[in-house]
Amino acid sequence: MNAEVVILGRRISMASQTRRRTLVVAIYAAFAILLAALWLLTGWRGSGAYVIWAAILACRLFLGGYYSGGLVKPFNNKPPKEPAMPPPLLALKLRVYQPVPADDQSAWRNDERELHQRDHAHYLAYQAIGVAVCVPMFIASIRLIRPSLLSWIPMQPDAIYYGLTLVALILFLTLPQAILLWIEPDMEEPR
Amino acid sequence: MIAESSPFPWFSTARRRTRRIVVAVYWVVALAFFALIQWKLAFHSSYPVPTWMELLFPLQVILFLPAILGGVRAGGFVKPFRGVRFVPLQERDETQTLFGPPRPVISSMTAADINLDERERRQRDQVHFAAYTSARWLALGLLVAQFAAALAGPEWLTRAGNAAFFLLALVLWSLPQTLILWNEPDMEEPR
Repeated sequence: MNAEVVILGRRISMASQTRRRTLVVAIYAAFAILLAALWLLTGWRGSGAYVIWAAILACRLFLGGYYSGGLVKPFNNKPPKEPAMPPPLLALKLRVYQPVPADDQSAWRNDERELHQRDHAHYLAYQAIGVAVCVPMFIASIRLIRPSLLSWIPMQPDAIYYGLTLVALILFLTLPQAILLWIEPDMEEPR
Repeated sequence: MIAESSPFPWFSTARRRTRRIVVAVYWVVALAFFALIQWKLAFHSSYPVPTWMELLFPLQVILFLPAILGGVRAGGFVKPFRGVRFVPLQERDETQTLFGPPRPVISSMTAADINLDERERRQRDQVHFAAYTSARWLALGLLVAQFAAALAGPEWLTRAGNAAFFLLALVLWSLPQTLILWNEPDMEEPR
C-alpha cells in the first residue's frame, strides 16, 4: 500500500490510519450525495452511468486496487500498462500524472503479506455484499406479495432496483480497497 | 477445505471427479429452479400478486440450496468458512468418570470440520478473491441486462429486476464453494 496520494501535484501523506479512515468515509459520503443529487435532478434516468464513472475515478485517484493509481497496489499484481503515447496535457496540467520507473517493482508488485491481505479483504467484502444483496431480494419479495407496503416510498419499485444495482456496483468496485485502507495500521512516514 | 463428515454418509467426495459431478448437478438444479420460478412468476401465477408460497419457494432456494455445498453453513461438502460456534455433542468421552456416565463430547469427525487451519483459511480467501472478480463482472452484466430490459418495456424491467437479484444472490452464495469443490485435488480415502 502506498503511503501518500497525489492530488493536483500536492503529496498528501496517508500513513496515518485516521486519515485513511477519514478518506474512506468521505468517499462513501460523496457517493451518497452523488446518488441523492442524481435522483433529485434526473431520477437516475440516463445518469446512472455517471455513478460508475465516479467509482472508477475514485479508484484511480484514491483507492487503487482494480485500477492503477491510488493508495492500494493493483490487485492483479501486474505492472501498469506503458502507454505508447505521452501522457495527455490535461493530466500534466493537473499534475496527476505519476510516472512509475520501469525497474521499481515495489510500486505495483504485492508481496506475500499484501497478497494475503488482498485475499482476506475480498473475503470480507464478499461476505458483506452476499448479506447485503438479501435486502433487495426482500424488497422484491415484499413488492410481489404486498405492493401496498411499499407505496409510502416516493420511488417507483423499478427505480429502487436500479438504485440498488448501482449501489451494488459501487460496493463491488470499492469495498475491498476500503476495507484494506480501514484495517491497515499506521505506517512509517516516508523520510 | 472438504468436510470430513459428508451430508450424505454413503457418498464419498474424496475424488475430484465426483465433486465436479456434484457441482454440475447442483448448478443444473439451481438454474432449473431459477428458470422455473421466473417462468412461474411471469406467466403462470397471479402476477403481480403471487401467493406467499410462491415467494417462499425462491427464498428457500437461496437459503438452503447453497447449504448443501457448505461453506456458508455447517453440514455441507465444504467446511464452514467462519467456523462453528455451537456444536452438538454426539459421542461419549472415553474416560469413565467416578460418578455418572462419561461426559458427552464432540465426535472426532465433526471436530475436524469445526475450524479451518491456516492453509484452509488462506485457500478460502484466495477462492473468495477469484469469486469476487467473477461476481463483479456478473453485477455489471446484470446492470446492462436491466438497461436492455428497460428498452424492451416496463413489464420486462420489473421481471429483470427481480430475476437479477435472485441470480446475483444465488451466485454470491454458491460460487466460492463451487470453486473449492471443482479445484480441490483428490483426497486420500480413509482406510
